[in-house]
Amino acid sequence: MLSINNVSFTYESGSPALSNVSLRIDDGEFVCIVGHNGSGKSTLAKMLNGLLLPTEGTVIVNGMDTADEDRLLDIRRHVGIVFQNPDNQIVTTVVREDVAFGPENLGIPTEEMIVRVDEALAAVGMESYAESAPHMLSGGQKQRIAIAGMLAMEPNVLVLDEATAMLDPLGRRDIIRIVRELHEKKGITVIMITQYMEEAIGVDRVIVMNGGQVWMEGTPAEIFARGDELRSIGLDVPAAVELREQLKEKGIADAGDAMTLEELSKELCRSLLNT
Amino acid sequence: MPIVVEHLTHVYQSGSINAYTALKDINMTIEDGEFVGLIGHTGSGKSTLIQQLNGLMQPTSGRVTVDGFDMNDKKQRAGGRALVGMVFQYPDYQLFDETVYRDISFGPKNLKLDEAEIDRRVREAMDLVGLDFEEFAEKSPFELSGGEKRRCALAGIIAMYPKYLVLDEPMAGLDPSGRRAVLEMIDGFRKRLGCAVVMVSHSMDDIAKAADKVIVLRGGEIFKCGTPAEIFSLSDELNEMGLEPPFAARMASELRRRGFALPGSIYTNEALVEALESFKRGDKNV
Repeated sequence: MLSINNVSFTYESGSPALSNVSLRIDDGEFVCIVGHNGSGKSTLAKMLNGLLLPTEGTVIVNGMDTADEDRLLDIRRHVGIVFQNPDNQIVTTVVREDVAFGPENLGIPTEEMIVRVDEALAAVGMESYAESAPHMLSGGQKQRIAIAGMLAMEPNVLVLDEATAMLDPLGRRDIIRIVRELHEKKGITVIMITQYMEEAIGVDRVIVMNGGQVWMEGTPAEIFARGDELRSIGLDVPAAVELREQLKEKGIADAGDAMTLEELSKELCRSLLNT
Repeated sequence: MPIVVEHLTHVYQSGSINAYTALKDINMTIEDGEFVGLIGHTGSGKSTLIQQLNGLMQPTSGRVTVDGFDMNDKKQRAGGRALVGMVFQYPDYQLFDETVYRDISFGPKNLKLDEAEIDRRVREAMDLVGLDFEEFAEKSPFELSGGEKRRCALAGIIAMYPKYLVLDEPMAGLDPSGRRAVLEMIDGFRKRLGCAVVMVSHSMDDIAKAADKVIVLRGGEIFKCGTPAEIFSLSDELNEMGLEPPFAARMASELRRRGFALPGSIYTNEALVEALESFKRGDKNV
């Protein structure tokens, strides 16, 4: 379990990035954190494995305080973070070595490491690239390698800090699919930070950040029913929800809480074609 | 006068065993003042192509002319390049000076404009990109947020009054309101300065909102060039290429599959709402 207790954080330049944030994320949850640029969501992500320490308050990871330096290695083993720019996360010249880099630093014995690396690459569908050079891969493939590097450390919590922001739509969809699979098959807790509202559909809980605070919290259906409020803080709703709102406003159809193309088209068939 | 690309082929590491043809026999025209969306899957040749438009790269064969300046000719290249402003995907790499003011004035200074004109252009450019002069002029570009850096890089380019503005993924990594703001801004100075815009984007929804003409690259060749309506009616082909058509186009094609009679040219929410409205009214074949 991850608990964030009354956390505030101020950067050296003086602007407060987080003010009095409290959150609890349970084991096995899939949580999505959304917010506009500068809302504090990335600062929050860096708090989760001690990359940043709160100016006030505490972050407790599985009973360990991130301010406790002696536990930092354990905390990082527990919580892995994948960042936005894949190029900044590649450290070696061979994919296999790149994935092994993290576990190696944890002092995992070689035989076990080989197994972990193979498994991690298989989990992200990159086993055939084990001997390739990372810089020859596409952005999406590089992000898969970065995720594999985290998986090889066998974390309980995977944090994706806008990990899909620089990818094309296909690359983005692949990463989301892989993360969902990991969550379902391995029970990994996922905390996904994103600006793409589509990515929040289907998660357990959505947390909306604004001005360094938790602004709204709920299921995707609850959050996306509040489109006007989201737009007022520079966010959006998924495309299907936007269309659903327009159809309702014009009295053409009431599609309930449909959030995807599939759901909305079914609802429209029901209400307009009576099928 | 337009940018004309004729029979352009570009081969990386030509002559070696690693030779790789990134572009093959490209023919296209960027007319004065038009908004062109350039789309294609990663590796389709988009980046290589836009770097040819201002002579950053020269083709292996074929030719680019910018308002008559032959970009293959070293002596003419500078003349053409002065007309084409480029903003790259990572604006961080484009910023370098001590203050935002100095950064934006760098281009106009190189154009040998006088102080008063440079000052006027910096202020105008900052206004156009929505950076408040008092607040930002003396700030270091490196203190800016991601979105502000992008605005700053854009301001530096538009202060040069380019006739053609080439943008590589100008909205990548921005939040929804940031995306909207940048897109409106680009359209704003297109109208104000009368420049043409060539925009590379993965977001078909953004292209659908802004472009007059869409060029689709596939494997280094032009797969199709046409109006957004023409291009986005090819939902299946785009999907196969790994390009996601605008949401409204995908939705319309799903509804057609489920038995709705809808016109084939829908690619915006407005058009789809309108079509569903008349469908409901009973004109079942709109």
